[in-house]
Amino acid sequence: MNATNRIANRILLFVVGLGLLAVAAAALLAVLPMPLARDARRVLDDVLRQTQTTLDAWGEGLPHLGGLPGTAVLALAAGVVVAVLLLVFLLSRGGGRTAELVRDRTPAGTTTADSSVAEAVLTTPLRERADVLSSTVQAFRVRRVPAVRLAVVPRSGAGLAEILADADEAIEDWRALAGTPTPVLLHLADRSGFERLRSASRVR
Amino acid sequence: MTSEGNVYRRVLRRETHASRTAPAVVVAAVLLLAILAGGGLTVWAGLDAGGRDLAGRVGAVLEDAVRNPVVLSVTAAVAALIGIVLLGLALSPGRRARRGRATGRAALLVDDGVLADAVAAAVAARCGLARRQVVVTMARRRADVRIRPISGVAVDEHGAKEAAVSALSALGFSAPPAVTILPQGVLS
Repeated sequence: MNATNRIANRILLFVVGLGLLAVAAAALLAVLPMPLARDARRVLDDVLRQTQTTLDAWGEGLPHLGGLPGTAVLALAAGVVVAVLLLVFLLSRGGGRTAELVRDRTPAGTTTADSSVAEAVLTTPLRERADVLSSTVQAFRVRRVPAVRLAVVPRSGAGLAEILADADEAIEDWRALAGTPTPVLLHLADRSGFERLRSASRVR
Repeated sequence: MTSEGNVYRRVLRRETHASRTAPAVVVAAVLLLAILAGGGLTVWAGLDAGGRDLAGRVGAVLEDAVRNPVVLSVTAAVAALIGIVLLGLALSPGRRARRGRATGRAALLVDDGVLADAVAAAVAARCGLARRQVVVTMARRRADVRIRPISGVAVDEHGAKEAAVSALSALGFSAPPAVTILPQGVLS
């Protein structure tokens, strides 16, 4: 439920994947002994040589900077731009968590409710159940609206319909308390991590 | 559609599909390191004789590698493999083993493991079997139920199907069960 731009993830993977396939094709062309590969290699060599000559001719006119030729300075500048874009990409993953779920502004003042209030209201009735291993609350902003994720890990053989009914009641209580219809995602989750080490069955 | 409905639709779509953040972050970090290393070496080579020496040595190693058919073949194989994996990650839908639906008051998201467990418990109870004799796998549109019977005791296949359907519909999901009764039973 975080705010990561997922299309950007896929675009990066697609572009780098295509680039690696191009590198693989070029390396393969260089080693294959077939006449077709030889022809392709000749064309590739010509293109590379021409590009090099054009770049060199163009770089002649560029000023040298601190002992570096103009083309190297340009390559460095391009590298800096790509590096900054990658850094922005890395820093913009995740996010979207919020602590504040409700903000009610009135002429008399502002009332806010923290996600820990939602946690107390939503998880207490579930934690009392013997067939629930854990229940946690996280708050996120989705489409600029604060939303709650209530994750419940049931024990094996738990009565899921009753857990759902309890959770529904708790959600109703939270909405009545908050005074706004906060969107809630109820997640019945598999046991994972440390929860796998705990007993899967109930003892009555 | 209400704004709450839009939020639920977006959240359920995101929660039931892989984000691809982990591989994208690894790729971005490797690219960034490579660019920083290349850029650092270029600047060092422009400023200092030691840097020029190192850049020359790196250039010579790369040139040797480009002329070596074994190195080129290995490079081609590794680059192709990683490239195909990355393209697969970029283009495949990346469905996660979960399913969701919007209920009256909230959006409900259930891991397939939880559903499978509920179905197995219901089938075992209906057929009078131990829980470990029923194995359920949730496919995208089907629930595969495999029952290991008690030797010599018939299993009510229709009852098992009904139990599976009602366990799923209690949570508001539907996936037609495919019940398989294994030919070899166990001694109770």
